[in-house]
Amino acid sequence: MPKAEISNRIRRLRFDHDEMTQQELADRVGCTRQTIIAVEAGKYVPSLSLAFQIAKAFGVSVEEVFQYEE
Amino acid sequence: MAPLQKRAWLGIAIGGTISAAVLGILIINGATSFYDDNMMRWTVTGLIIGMLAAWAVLIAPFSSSKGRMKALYDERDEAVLRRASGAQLWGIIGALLAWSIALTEIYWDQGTIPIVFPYLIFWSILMVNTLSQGIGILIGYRRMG
Repeated sequence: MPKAEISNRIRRLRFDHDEMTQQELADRVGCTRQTIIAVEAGKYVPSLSLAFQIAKAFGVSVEEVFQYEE
Repeated sequence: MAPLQKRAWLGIAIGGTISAAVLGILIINGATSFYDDNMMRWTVTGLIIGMLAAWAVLIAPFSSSKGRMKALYDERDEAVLRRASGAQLWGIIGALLAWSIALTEIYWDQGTIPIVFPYLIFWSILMVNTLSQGIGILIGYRRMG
């Protein structure tokens, strides 16, 4: 199975939403700020549930937040 | 730093100090005098129980899916905790291997080992189990940002 990378546009989306802070996003999706930092840096791949919640917080689809790259 | 990560550091500091103290007592007094020396036996047992109690207060609440601790951690912390069990497994295997080699080498000629050792192996495995969980937690946070 080829190694896949999951990138994300969270930093860009936060910027587009009035410079939403990582803490604000964490509060909206119900996780800790450290988890948002890890997801944003690509060090932690969130569960489907959290991925959908993050997308919902920005009002976009999951595919607009996370990209699957082989 | 995540709350679980802070507690893992604290747990390792407490556990490491107590483990070093227990090891020091056993080396200075001799492990085989464990049953003859009441003071030594109660001191070592007390230290180990203290270490387990500290661990129960620091880390065990994070293993529960309910309660007030739930607000302090999320799915990433749960993933870190799950992965830490791998470190626990390797820690226990390593400790049992070390005991096996050491006891075999030392007591090979006698053909038997003093009865105190199964008891000490049990306590040492409990200590290694808690310490390696802490190390596993720190490794998990390092790998997951």
